[in-house]
Amino acid sequence: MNDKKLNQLFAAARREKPPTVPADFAERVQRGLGQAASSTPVVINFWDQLNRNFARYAVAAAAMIMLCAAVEISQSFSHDPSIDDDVNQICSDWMLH
Amino acid sequence: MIDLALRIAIDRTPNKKTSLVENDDAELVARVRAGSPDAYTDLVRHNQQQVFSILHRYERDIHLVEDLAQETFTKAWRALDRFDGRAPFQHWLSRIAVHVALDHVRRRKRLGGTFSLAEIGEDSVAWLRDELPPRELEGRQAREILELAMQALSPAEQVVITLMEIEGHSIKEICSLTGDSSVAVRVRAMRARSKLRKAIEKLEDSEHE
Repeated sequence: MNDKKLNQLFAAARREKPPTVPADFAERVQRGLGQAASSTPVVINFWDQLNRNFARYAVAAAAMIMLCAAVEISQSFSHDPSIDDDVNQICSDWMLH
Repeated sequence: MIDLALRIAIDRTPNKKTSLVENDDAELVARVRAGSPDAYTDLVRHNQQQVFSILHRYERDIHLVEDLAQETFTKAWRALDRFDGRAPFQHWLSRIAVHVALDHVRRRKRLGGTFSLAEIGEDSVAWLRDELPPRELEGRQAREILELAMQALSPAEQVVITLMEIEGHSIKEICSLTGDSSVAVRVRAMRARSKLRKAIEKLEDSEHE
């Protein structure tokens, strides 16, 4: 195989005419872009998500605070030793030593 | 004097046409950015033939060429914000088309779609065998033989040799289209020619057996 034959191949390939573009190609591209835009999922960042669910998070946080307060009050009435008592006991022991 | 004036007029004609097209494209890009949906359809119409001309060098199936052209225009639309207007829109679009073609060649090679000597036309085989009298090879036959031989090349080598030998681009233009350095383009072109020569010799031998 000499270069002349390879060059003949390239020259012949250069002469090949490109295909005819379909008449409605541009419209099809436009339709494809429209479909792609409508099917693209909307990306929501952390702050958007927080903003969207703020009311739910606020109610959940308030419920948690009320629950903790209720437990604390009920324990104070029952005179059971609480974690505060244990901590005070440890502190006083350590100070005496 | 008249000759000189005529020559100047002839010399200026293509430049004027090119700049008119560039101005049209620039205006259409500005309209797309301003939110006019129809402007992009006009931009596609202006440039579709050029994109098809690039892509059909890498794929013979017209339906696949259409899919690749659609992919090119979709990518261009998505990246339009990054088009800074320093180069003509046509050149920017050609770069996208070349990269779409490169991805297509890579995908085809990865999937292992092979094309054998049995699938090419008898006239192409006869040309390979040197059984035909010296005559000009038809474009379709040349494409068949080249596609068969180019299976021995890497995707990047296929793109470089196509741009250089079939599309007739200079090294500098290929660097701009592919984003490769001039050294890489020269080395790939040299390797590609050598591999093609060997692949075609192999085809000739296999046919003689």
